[in-house]
Amino acid sequence: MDYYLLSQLINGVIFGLIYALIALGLTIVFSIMRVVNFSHGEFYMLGGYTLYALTSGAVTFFSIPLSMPTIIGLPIAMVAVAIFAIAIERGMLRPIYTVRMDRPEEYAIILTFGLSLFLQYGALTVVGPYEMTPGAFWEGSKHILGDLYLAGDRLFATGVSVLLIGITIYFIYGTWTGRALMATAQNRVGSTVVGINTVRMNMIAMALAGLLAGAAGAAMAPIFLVYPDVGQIPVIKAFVIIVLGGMGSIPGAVVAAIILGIVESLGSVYISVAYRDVFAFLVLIGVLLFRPHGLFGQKERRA
Amino acid sequence: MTDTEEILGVSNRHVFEVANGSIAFGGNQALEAVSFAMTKGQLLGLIGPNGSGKTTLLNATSGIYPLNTGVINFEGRSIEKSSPHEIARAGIARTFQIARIFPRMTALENMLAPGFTVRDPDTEDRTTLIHRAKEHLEFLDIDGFAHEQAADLSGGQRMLLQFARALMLKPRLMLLDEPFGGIHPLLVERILQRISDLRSRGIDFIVVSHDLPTIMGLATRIIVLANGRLIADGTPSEVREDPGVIEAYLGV
Repeated sequence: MDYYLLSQLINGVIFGLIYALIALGLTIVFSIMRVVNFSHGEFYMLGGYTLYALTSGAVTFFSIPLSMPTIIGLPIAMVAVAIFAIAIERGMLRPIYTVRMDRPEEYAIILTFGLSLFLQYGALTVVGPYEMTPGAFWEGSKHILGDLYLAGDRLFATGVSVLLIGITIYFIYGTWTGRALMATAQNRVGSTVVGINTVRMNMIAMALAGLLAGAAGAAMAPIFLVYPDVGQIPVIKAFVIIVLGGMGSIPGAVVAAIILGIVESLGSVYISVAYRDVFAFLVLIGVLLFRPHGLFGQKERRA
Repeated sequence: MTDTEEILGVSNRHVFEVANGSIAFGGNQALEAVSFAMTKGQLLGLIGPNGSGKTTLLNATSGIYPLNTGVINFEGRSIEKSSPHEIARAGIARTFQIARIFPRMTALENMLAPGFTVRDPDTEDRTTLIHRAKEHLEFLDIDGFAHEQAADLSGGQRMLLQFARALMLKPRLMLLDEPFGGIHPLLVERILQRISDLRSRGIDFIVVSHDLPTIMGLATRIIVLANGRLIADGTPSEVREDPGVIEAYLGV
């Protein structure tokens, strides 16, 4: 057994699952609200910073240094980012669908793009460009089998991803609210006239995106550290993934994320690690050439 | 009108009422001071040339494009400021000229999509809701397609599906936009029969149609819009004789 190849494959799947966590929120917001959220990477960043602030002891709260265990910091970071996401939806994005405006899509793009820059430079100003290292979730490296060892933090991040992806899929496909979310994504006006509060659905979509991105940012923080533009590369990959999986498709996003993770991991080993972040775009170009509606996307008959 | 009704005031008699409803899109006056009132048991036919404001009036009633000025009352409550989902839950259901179904769900899932929000939590659970959804599909003779993807249904079946889905709201007023447009005559017969069944159960209708013979036969009362103004209001035979209506239809 080639443990090196196996460990690279597993690494690929691990990264894929983390990418899936980021991509899910992006695709849910896109399909429900028709908003391409360019500030999604900054939700991820905020998740990391919140975890650091809560657990490192560097921040004081009424002169008590905050140094709670990382495992408690993670859910708090998720909720904090979700609250932030709801505030953005309420305060900035709501006019898109409550006020009759000429170019709502363009408004949303400019707004979320501006917000992304604002948050990145805001973080730069407030905490500086330094990389910060929150404590580990699961220290050391773990023996799996034979010569295969994996870092505890990576295993932890994988577990968090699998759990949250599972909960999200159950929520979307297995609950009444999930059905109403799907209906809103498939026909907004049709949903509202059968009694679905689509404004509330937008809020739920944004909260979900905040929870998932916040979780990803916090879970990855001990591995990739935290700095102002830490969300940039992951969010670009999430964009690639939702195009690859078919815009708005949830199973598509998960499968595409794992494929991308494996391609990157094997590409780094067998071609060159220097091109690690390029593989995503090669895959994207390939998909756009040969299957422009994505792996799971459906060509729609438009009336 | 009896004395008692006069004392109670008109709004108690009128189950649905639009007063001075106006909407402008940019410089285009889509509805201009439209007023009418409907009593229980009526089926109101809404006719007029293309662009006369029929669909706009339905959109204003269901809250999709709120009125700029004016009042809409339903069962004595003013609804012109309410959002579409509140109006739907209040008992006004709506169909569209191009069926607004959920394409990547089965017909039954389409029926159940708003389930949580439309059900009465005291009396309806998952089982009774599914049962009711199936009954409505059966009522419109599309129960055979319950497990088909809505995207695979024909135009006529989609129309019936959105009709059935609207019934999930237990509406007391239904707004139908061109329910006979591009539909086979046999299917039109079926829809007419169902409308008459629902009327006997106490549901009122406002029906927009270009199919004049059908709507004239169906409606108890006809309202004619032209260029956003109400130009005639009366029984089908009165409206048929109205010189203004003849001019609006033939003179343009």
